[in-house]
Amino acid sequence: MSSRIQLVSRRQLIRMVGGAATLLASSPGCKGSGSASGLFSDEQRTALRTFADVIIPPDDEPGGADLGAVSYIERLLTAFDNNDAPAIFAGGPFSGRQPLPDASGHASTNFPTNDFADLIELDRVSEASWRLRILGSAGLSNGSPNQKLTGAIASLRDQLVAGLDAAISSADPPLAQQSPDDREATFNAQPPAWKNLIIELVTEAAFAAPEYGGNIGLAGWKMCHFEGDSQPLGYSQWDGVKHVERPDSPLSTPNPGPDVAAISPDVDQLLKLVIAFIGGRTA
Amino acid sequence: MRKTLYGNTQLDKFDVIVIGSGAGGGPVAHVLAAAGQKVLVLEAGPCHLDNIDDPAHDIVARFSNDELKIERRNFMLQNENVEPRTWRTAAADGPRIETLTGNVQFLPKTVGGGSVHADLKMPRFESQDFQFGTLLKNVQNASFADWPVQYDELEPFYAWGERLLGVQGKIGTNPFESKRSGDYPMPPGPPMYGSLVVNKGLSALGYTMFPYPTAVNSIPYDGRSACNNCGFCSGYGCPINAKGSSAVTVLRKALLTGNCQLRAETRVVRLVANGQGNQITGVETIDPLGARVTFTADRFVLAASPIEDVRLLLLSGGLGNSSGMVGRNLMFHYQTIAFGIYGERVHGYRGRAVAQGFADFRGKPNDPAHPLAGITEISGGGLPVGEASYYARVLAQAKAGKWNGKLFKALMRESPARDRIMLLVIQAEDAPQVSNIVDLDPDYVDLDGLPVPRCTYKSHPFEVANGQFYEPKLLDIMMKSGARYAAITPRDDVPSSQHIMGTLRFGNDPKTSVCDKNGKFHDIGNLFASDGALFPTSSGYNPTMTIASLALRVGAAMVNPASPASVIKT
Repeated sequence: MSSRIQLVSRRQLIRMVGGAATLLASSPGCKGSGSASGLFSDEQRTALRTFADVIIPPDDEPGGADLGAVSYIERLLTAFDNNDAPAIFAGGPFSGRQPLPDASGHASTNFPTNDFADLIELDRVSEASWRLRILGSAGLSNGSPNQKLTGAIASLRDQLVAGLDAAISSADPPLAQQSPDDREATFNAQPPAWKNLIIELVTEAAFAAPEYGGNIGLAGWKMCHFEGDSQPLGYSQWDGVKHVERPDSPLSTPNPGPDVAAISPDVDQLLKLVIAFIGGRTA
Repeated sequence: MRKTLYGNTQLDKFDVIVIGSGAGGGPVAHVLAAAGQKVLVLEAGPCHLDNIDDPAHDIVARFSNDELKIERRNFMLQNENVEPRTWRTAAADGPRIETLTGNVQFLPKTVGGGSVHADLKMPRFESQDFQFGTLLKNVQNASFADWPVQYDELEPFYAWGERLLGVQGKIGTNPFESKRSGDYPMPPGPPMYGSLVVNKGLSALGYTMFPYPTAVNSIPYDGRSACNNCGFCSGYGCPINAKGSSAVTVLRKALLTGNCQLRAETRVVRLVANGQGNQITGVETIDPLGARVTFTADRFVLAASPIEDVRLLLLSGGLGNSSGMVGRNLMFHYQTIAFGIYGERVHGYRGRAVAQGFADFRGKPNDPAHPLAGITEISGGGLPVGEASYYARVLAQAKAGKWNGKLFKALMRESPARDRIMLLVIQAEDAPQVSNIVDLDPDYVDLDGLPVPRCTYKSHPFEVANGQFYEPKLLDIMMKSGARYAAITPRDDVPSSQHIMGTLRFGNDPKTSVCDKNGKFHDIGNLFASDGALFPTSSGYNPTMTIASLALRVGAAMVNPASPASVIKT
């Protein structure tokens, strides 16, 4: 695999989130539930929507809440709540959002069925891993493999809810009475490990395939000008003689038309700061 | 319950058991099954390729353009909370520095192994790469060794492997390539725009970009469709089977002979040996439901990855180690990575992950003006979920942990780290060291209660210095090509490359190597290795083509030890 750009190491990120798990493993039980899924109380659900909008603020396009953060998180955290295949892995190979190519290599009017709507059954090891992540050590009959060395692992559900309760309690005035800037300040005052966890979940909701419960109306992909899953059309098709590229999203030539969102002064300033910090060069 | 048994399900007596179905295991299974041997392939991971053993239907993959499934939810990769690995730099660190980290063994567990997730960059090694025991004998505290098989002897197997897996490329375009007996089976596919942008810098500085040899169909090939450059390539299984993984090529061919059986989700946990430890009599496994089952055969092949091969030998009482070299000389390619961010959208997330590269930084041994590093990949950016994480990390560092939602949203819209970025990745020679070793962690266990592998690994000054030599040159290329911002990415301490090599070095001397020229253990008459564990040195080219070609040769030598080349099918 090619390496991705890396500014904080993956190891450090794992350590941050792992720290939260250890901390919360010993915290008292979480408050009761009141939502349709039985997962969140109304107050917790409202707070989750509020913080989703802190992470991705609404403007002329949806924020984190309307992008489906709550439904995404509920779907993940209740994956083992019934006897169906857990909603961890969507099926494949196609979603049905892109058409099949025709004989000339161009888009046809035929679309495959949505295989993403199916769920893939977990194998023995994957099921244990996901039970451990979502339900914590209590999710496995013998506990986590190295529990005597590391202590019990807290469930994702407990990590999330405990942090939400702490944030609700710390908000003064209550979140509902705060301005967007004050809500951002309340969010920023929470423990880094919990913030990292909720940022991860909210951004997954916004930019993953909609079959996982978020990215409602594909608004997340539209916001970041991403075409989404591209099969079976792809970005080029072999027509028997040559590769035919998509005129709207070419492979080997520049995009047609003007830049949909050029680099702004704020982003330019941030990039220069990062480049200076890691010793790079700017034009 | 879903299917885990494939091929000739009636077979219950086997000539050979192959442990692992990736680039090392699949080719061996193919050669042996084609020669009439009854082969059982055991794969620890699940199979996501329906119809892999059905001659009447094309394979239907459960792989998809699904970033969450692949990148975040470990559809294929090991799960570090139930299958951890540990790491340290030296014994002086204590039992370990890092625990529960997957970085030290980051290969997929699925039918097809690492050849499924890879974007299958398949360059051959250069002829010089097989001779560094002679050419680099003066490097202190390194254990460079000549290969017992030289380039000329491996060349016909390279050509065979390229035909079987389906490799695209163009002879003569890499000025540093060694002599080939013919052109690639397929022409290069279309370039990615970002590569052409980077080439402005390469051309200005006198470097030579060429189409990267990849096992990706540029045209329909061997019953599989042409790649449509969907963009979800590196790290992803191919939804349309245009990538020539071991699973959809050689393993499928083996299964269709009627001589091969594949058991997925079947994890080998012990090699059963005779009293002298010089013959293997069977393998103990954990089946898909968690039950212990033993299989027997006449001969056995280790192809589970350099780390898992060693772990299995150690879990079996430390077999095959009269040389004391089992687990030693663990190597990863030493990666130096530069990124450039452009004012324009170069949309590097479209296409094969890497379509072009250059080898000007491969270098020569003992040449201070051109130190030995590796081929350089020209790669695009990632996808939006990962992109969001990068920005979150950047904001956390640059803004002292303070989240800024408006700035985050601007970053996602303007997309410097996906739509405007290109990467240059040097896959550099990693000097082998006897002190870099795989053994068993004394405390940590996996889901099944078995000790996990521990990697003791530290980079040698050789590769560190060579990497630093080329860093400013990478930045020169980026800036000359028009990048607005460019930098070298910070390194992680834990080796995280998926190019894992060494640990069961092959050679002619039983005192200094574990396996012989044909991959057979010096100490064990019926045990072979056929994956990257055999490599005495790492080269500076991606390893998969050499793993597959060497595996073909191991299989051929099992069929005809006196003349492996006579087994090659043209």
